[in-house]
Amino acid sequence: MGDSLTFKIVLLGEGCVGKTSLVLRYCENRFVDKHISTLQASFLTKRLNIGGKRVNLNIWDTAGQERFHALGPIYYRDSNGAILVYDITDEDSFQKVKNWVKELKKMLGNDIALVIAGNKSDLEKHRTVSAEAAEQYAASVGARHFYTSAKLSKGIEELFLDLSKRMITEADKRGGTSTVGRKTAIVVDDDVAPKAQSGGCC
Amino acid sequence: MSYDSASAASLSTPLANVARRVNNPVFRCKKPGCSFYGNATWQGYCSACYREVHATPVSALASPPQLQQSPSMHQPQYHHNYHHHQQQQQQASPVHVPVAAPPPRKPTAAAPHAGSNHQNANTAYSSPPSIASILGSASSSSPPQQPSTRAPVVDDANADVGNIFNDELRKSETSESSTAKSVVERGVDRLLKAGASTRIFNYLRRGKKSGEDEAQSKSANNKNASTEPAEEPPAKEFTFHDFLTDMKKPQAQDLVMQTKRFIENFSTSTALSSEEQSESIQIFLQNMGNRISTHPLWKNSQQEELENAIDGIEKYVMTKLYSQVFSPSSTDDTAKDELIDQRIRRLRWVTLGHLGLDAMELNEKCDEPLKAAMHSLCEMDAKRAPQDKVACIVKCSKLVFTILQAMAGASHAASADEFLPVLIFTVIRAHPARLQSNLQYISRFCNPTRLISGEGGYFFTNMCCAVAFLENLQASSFKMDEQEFTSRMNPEFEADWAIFANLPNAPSGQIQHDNLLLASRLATRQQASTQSLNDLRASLQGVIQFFESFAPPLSQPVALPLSQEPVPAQTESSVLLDSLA
Repeated sequence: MGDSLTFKIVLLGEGCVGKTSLVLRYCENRFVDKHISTLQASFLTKRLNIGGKRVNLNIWDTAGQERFHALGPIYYRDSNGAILVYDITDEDSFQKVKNWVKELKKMLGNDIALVIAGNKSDLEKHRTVSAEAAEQYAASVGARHFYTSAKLSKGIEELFLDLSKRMITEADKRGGTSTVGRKTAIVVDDDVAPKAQSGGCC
Repeated sequence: MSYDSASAASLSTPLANVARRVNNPVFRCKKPGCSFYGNATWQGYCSACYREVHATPVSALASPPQLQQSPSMHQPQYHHNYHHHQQQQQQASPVHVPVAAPPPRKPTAAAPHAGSNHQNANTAYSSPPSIASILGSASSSSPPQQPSTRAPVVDDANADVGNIFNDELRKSETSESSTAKSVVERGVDRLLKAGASTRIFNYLRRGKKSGEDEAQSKSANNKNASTEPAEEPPAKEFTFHDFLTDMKKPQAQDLVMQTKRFIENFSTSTALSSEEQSESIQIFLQNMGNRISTHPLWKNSQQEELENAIDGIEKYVMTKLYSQVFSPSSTDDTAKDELIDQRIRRLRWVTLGHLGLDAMELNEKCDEPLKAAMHSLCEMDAKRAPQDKVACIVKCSKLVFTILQAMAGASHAASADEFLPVLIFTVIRAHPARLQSNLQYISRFCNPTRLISGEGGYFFTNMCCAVAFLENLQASSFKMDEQEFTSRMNPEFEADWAIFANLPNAPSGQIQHDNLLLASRLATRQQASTQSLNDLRASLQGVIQFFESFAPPLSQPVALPLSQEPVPAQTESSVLLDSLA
């Protein structure tokens, strides 16, 4: 294990904004699935090496439909980072992002690194979410904003790299408690897990 | 042969199918006049005719592997009709009848058969599948590397079995027409002639054993050199059994003692709350984990082996303490179980459409994985160790992806948007026992590392989400109006649905259920319309009565004032009559 860090990243966003395409493009470099190697795109992992540090990203996709909205806290507890995806041609999806940010801040405080992704940047013509407003909003909540296109494979590497770097900084700040070495993780989670669990269910 | 009719007549009714098959000429060997049965592997021939058709030695070598693996299948038939195929045997020797040859023998031709030796050969060769292994060992110890110093004398009582095969192999290299099989066979022939049948088996056994030894020493070497971990790409799978074996070693005595003491102490302290139990066990397991990672027994072990040991301790402890810590009476787990149980029972009408996957439909390809997913979910309750329970959830979840793939086509990577609804659907269908207790147990006692990272953690979280959704769902969760939701959630509806609960997940069950729903709605409407009809009838009665109150004066004869003059209408009508006339 050594100094390898494991991070949990949740992927939040309304249905149809392209969460799945985004993460598939990043982890498998695929857009149109011709040669299927995975059955699923809901739990993917990626290994990185950033500045000599080995980093494992566990990327958790979440169900984005409104009916499952209340389940959010169960998904994103203990996560180190969150990627909030919206569709630049869909104003509603951006509003959803704002809701999630509010929730995340309430539940996890500032411990979580946030990235907002304006996906489908290849459809610039049909843009309805103003670029200025989106970037301004991101800055106001301490998140980075990226334009991504899963179709053209743009901005995705940068997004994950930036997020990883910020999670590493965050982990260093806390003295490495987020590393998944067994010992530290056990101490951290011992009293957290059961409580958060019961809180999430009720 | 009279075989057909005799066998067909003696067959009893349950075997009628078999009789049909037996008598069906389609199953016969393709070769006209042959009375054996053919099969697809032999291109419709029986094995003997197949070989006859493909008589060249090369094709005999390239014949299907089944030939070497289970030659005994055809053997009895062969005995029945020994002479039938004798001629063909000489062209390409069959593997399954290695028979001692008479002394004068051409080196290139395969063994001809001597009837007198047949019995003998058969007893010596009662387990023919080892032919393949003879072949393997004969060719692996190739002659140039191990030159035989002994002359290949056939009747040498001390003839080394291996050498004889090597010798035959060498011969075969010089004559291109012989096959590997004939090499083996000739070797066997020679040995049989030398009365060395038992030695063949010894040779085979030794060959197999030495192979194993080699593998063992190889792995031992790897172990010694494990300072560079994970040298071998196919990492060894460590099991609970490996862990128990390790624990039996004297060096592990301290760990065993400590574990036993902990279990003893834990069992006597009964007044612990579930949180305290969880904490106590987690701290113990954490300590044990620390000790194992620095323990001399695992000093040179790889990470996987270490983790296996840590998991092993968890499994051991949790299995021992299961009855004490699973759904303890100090918690409300049982009550929660009942709640979710009732919920699921009343939700049997839920379809994928209700969960938002309108575009997807279960097809027959989904049946298998759906059943398997339901099964592994139900299996969770039977497992004791938290890691095994999580493994059940993971297995179920992976099968859910298989279902999704069956519905959406192969080129589809399912996202959580589709996964969660189908998982919920599976939970409803599976209706697993003590669901909440199991989830609570996992979250209390499973290794937390497992639960916050890795796919185990992800799928467990999804399962918690599914259960949370089922617990909290309302009409809006199904985008359904309140009234319909309430009517569907009432116990009567549940009873109706229970009729179909035992049906497989075929769409027909769904249709029946929908029809039932429709019928019940129609019944209500009919009742309402009967009611309003009665109302209408009553009010109509009132109207009639009202009008009848005016009726008597109307029914009185009224004296009409008649004029003296004839009525003009009459004249008019007479004019009309005139004109008509």
